[in-house]
Amino acid sequence: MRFLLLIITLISLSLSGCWDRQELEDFAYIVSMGVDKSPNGQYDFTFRITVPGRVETDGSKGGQSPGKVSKLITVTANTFHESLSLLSVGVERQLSFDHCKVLLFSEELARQDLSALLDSFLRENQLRLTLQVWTVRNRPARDVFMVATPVLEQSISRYIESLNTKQREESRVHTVTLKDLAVPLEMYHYDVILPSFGINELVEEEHKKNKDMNELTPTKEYREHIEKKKGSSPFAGETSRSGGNPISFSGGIVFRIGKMAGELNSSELRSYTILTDKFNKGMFTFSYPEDEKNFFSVQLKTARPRKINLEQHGEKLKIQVKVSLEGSLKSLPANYQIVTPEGFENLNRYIEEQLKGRLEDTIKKCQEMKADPFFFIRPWRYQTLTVPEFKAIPWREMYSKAEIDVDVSVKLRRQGLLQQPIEGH
Amino acid sequence: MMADGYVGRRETTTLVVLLIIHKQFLVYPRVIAEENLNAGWLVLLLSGILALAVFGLYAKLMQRFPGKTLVEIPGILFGYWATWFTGWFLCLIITFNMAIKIRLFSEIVVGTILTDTPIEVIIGVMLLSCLLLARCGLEGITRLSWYFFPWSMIVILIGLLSSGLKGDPVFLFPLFGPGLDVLLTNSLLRVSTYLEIIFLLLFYPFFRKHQAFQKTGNHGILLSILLAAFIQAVFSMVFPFSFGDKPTIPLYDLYSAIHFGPFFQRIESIFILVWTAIILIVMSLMLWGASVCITAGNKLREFRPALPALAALSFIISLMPENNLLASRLATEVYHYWPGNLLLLPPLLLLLAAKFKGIAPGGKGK
Repeated sequence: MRFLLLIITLISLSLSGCWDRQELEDFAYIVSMGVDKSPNGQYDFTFRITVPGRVETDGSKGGQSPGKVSKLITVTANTFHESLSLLSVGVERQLSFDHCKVLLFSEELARQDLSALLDSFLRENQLRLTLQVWTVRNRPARDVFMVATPVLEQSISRYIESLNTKQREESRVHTVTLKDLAVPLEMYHYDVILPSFGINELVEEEHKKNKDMNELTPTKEYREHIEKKKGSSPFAGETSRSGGNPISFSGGIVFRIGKMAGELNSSELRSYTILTDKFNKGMFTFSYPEDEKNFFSVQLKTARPRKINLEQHGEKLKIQVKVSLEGSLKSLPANYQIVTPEGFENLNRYIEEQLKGRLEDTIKKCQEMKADPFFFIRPWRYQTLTVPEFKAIPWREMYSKAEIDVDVSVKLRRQGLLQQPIEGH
Repeated sequence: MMADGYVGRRETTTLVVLLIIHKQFLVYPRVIAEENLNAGWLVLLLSGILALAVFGLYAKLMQRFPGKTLVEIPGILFGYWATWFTGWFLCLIITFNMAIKIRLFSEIVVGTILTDTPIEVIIGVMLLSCLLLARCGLEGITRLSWYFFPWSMIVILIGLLSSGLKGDPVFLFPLFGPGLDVLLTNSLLRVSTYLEIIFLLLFYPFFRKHQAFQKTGNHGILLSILLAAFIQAVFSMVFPFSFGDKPTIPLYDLYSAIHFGPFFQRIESIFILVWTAIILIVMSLMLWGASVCITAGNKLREFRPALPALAALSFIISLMPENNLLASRLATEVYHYWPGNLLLLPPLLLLLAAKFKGIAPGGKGK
């Protein structure tokens, strides 16, 4: 009897695999997808599906366009799952999202409520909460798939992952996962910023004219563009660059209650990361005090977590934020003999003053949008005792009118391998 | 009773912990978060303390009836009909509970990994495995639990700590969640979170000494309280209120959100393995418990013949709820809510009856 039971159990255990048995070659792996607004209230879902046989493992063949190792398909549908159903008719294999890492929303779509779309993504068991979510500035999400030509990577998701790591090192962008987007959208008194992709039209044009990109860059058009350009801190797609990948990311879109409330440029997004402890390290360039034509660069990193203090006097609220950074000097204009403890002290004060302005400007911009992606209400969350009490705080009103005081502490610790700058005798 | 041998204190403690916390791997964290927002962990702590007090009284009852189980005590106090009734009643309650939990677990499997496999097959395979394990008796189940427990705790704690690092302690505040009054009321209504302590009253003859029984219960419940509250706290830190009531399978979402670069991600597959083993051990114990109740209630000598019939009954009951939501409601709003609290009362009434009849500790005065 015992033996019989054992046999039955073993047979039963092996049976459970039959219904879900899938061979690797039966799958069509979707590695990234994008959603755009379509006429008649529908959505355009764009999927990039890999063709496994064409993915070369040979490193020497780097630079191959994702278009050669994957296929791009756009389906118009009312819901995400309807699009999958329509897509499955046109794709020979079973769709799999096991390797899907990127989800793009067009800016146009971000202007309307994303909740309905998010519902289908969160409900789908194949999609992971760690899926990275981005917005595409000024262009449909499909365009990013069309023009993306990674410099080295062949796989678009691998490309995003590696650039992401690089960008995180420079803290010019912060990554947002499906969970990071969905959770704040449901929370009280808290908003979220989605990083943006942009298409650099100059580089896109270069690619159209010179498909193999074997001509010299920078091009003449690029030189003309640089001459006309004023200021820095661009939005995504506006970076001064010639050659390389037409797509770039910098800046982000601020969401308030599920809808786009405004956008931040590259510098503002960096300020946001500093103000929210998401900043790791990054290079900053400032014009030299009392000499705007000369510049110096410092690499800064977070020294201590931010401190927030909320002071309420009647209806007036004062938000005090203290951020602490430390770093090293990376470049100095010639003939500036300031690498001394006193010189560093002066530079610290100057950088603090410059950063304070940048950070306060970023907060003011968000205050105008009535969006708080900084989670400044944090101390009051500790202080209130019950959720109804916390919910009742008219935070958006108070925050949008609040007086802001950012205290920046900068300590330059090192001067690099050169003690004093080149004097050019 | 049919105590073939004795069980070790530590082994049984691990079994008690698995028995109590198994529901945290189903839908329970979401239900607690839905009701108590970010303060669910406090409710589990408070209701756990109440459950400890209830167990203290249970221990006093068992001290008066050495070597007896909960099924046999009513017979001593009121006659055979009471034993018969208690045996059948407990057997049905346990079978129903087991069936609903198996259904919930199978729904999770169908919803996440084996999406095309018919649910009947998953339930059937699960019950067959439980049947095989339950045949080994309490000693076998406790031994398996003892070997498996450290590994399961390693996996669970690594997962919780990794998820916790992605969470924020500020989301545990405002401290009293929906309000102190709501928390206290819910703590009282949710004592049945620890309803499984009744099972300890079926283990009693397997302990050599009363002290061992008491220690096993206290340690098992205490460890379960800490673990359940910790799981709930981590869940609230990662999925704060107003989102915490949304994940269908809370711990699956918690574990699948772990991502520490390319080398430490997608660990939910390991978790599911551990999860399946925990549910298997617990369901086997429930099947054993149901069988023991019916055997004792009918004064039979061997519990094993009843196992296949009870497994078949569980199979039928598990398919009764029309959908996942109904199964979830039965588990969380009947068994582990105020109706479940009512099930905790009869042993306390038996203690009163024993006192009234002058039965002293050690069985003197019977």
